[in-house]
Amino acid sequence: MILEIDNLSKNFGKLKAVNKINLNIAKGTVFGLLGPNGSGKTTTLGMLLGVTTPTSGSFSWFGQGDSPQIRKNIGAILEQPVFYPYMTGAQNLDIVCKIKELPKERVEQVLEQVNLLDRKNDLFTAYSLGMKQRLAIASALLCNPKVLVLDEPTNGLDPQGIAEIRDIITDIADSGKSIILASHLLDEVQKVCSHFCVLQKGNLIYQGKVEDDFSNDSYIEVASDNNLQLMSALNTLPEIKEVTEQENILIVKGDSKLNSLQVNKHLMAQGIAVSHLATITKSLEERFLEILADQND
Amino acid sequence: MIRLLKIELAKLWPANYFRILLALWLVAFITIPFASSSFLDWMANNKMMSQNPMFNPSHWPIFDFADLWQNLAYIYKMISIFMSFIIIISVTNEFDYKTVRQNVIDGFSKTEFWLSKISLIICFSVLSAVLLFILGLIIGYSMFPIFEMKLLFTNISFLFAYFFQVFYLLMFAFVLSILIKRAGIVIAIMVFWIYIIEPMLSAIIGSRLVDWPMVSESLPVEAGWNLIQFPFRKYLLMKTQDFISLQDIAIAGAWFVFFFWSSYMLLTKRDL
Repeated sequence: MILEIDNLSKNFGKLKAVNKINLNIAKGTVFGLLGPNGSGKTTTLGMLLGVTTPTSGSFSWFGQGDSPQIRKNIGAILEQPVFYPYMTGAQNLDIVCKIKELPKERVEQVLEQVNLLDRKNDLFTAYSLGMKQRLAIASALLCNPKVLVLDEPTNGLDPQGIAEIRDIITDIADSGKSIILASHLLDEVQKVCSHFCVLQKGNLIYQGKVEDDFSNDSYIEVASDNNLQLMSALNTLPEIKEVTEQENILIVKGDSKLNSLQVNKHLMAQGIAVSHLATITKSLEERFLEILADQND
Repeated sequence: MIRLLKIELAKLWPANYFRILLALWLVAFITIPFASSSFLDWMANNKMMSQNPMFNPSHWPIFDFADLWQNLAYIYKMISIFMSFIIIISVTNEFDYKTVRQNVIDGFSKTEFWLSKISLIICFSVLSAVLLFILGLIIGYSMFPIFEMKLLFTNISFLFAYFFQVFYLLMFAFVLSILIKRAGIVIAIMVFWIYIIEPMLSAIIGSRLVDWPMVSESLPVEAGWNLIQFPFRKYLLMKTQDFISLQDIAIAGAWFVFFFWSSYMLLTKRDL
């Protein structure tokens, strides 16, 4: 386990910002922490990273509890990139190196990794928002962390900047590191995460695997110039459970093994050509709204 | 502690405000004694002044050994406020940029962050005292070139008093900075407090509670200030405290401990 959270709570006066959260995050997962703004994501991460004192409950990193020494092996950014504006990118990373007690050589290596090496001697204030965010990721990578904690890493970026950050995150995830990613952007979580949980008003209302939540809900759309013939042909395929027609398109639902390739081969064998064939996966957004709606019932 | 100091200096060195304030402080430190000795020369050449030998300041042994340490320490304690501005800006910047939070996320404990600032304060206090010592030797020797160990180290306790006075003022600035977190407001409040509030309080208390002079001496800045008392009266044959009194040390010491305790509590018990 990378992280075990046990009944963690934080109250600000009467407000229960985080309310008795229990969560386990396994090694190697990319874990999405979802929730609307103000749902307690940053407060939770703040407690996990030593800046906010929990009201009650506990947590443990790598099964070793919590200490500054352990934090030195975690790469983390909370909210916006935080650096000394009057220093260059390299000088800023040098400070982080000193705090984490790392060799100076790491600075160039991580700057290379996020493609900022040629701008290392520019002042932090001269960086664009995308570059600041990349510098923050570089800083989080300095200690070659076992787990990376990112809070809204694409917030406020333009589409190109978002794509760059996503590529970096995907590369890091592919290298086998665990990532905890807080976001209110659902398709972001869907694209990069393997597991996710949903926070609402400080309560943990859902957790599960991204894959599970979508594979069950996928279906196939088929259409041809003769939908009647198409429907009878489809019904002969044993994996298909249900075929319905919606606006001249047939909606095909089957067991989990069913895929569009199989459907296409089956139809070709029967001499039917299709004008439309697509696999539709429910988006996390729909799922997320469902989860929130369930809570409100 | 040395590691923490190195981190602090790495944070400070690239900052323009630091270089400017340090340069101003150094210039003031080095020029003040020379400037005041030329002022004394000017007074000596002034006809009216030189006719009355008793009130001729150029005959006062201001920069001669034994007297020199208290006199220099008194002059220099007036510019230690420059140094406190460096501490105020360095601490409030950390809140302003939220870097205090990032430092903790990166692996500092809150105690380490506190210690890193304390190490900076000690470093500046030592620097002040060492500079005072070096300048004291140079000035004293140039005024009165007789090298006698016993004379040289008479009243050297004022060197330690000066070290403590700078340390004390910087700790006061440190507490205000953590409490208020905005450089401009901290500097305004500090200047206002030192030059207006405390003298007024001290005057009011002094006139109403004549039997309790202790109270005005116990105000936070006054307590640190009192360690090195105004020395020049003695040249007019007035009564002057030319030693460091135990009572002053006790009062300042109590505040000093309070500054340590409150800065530690404010930093470590609050959410960042």
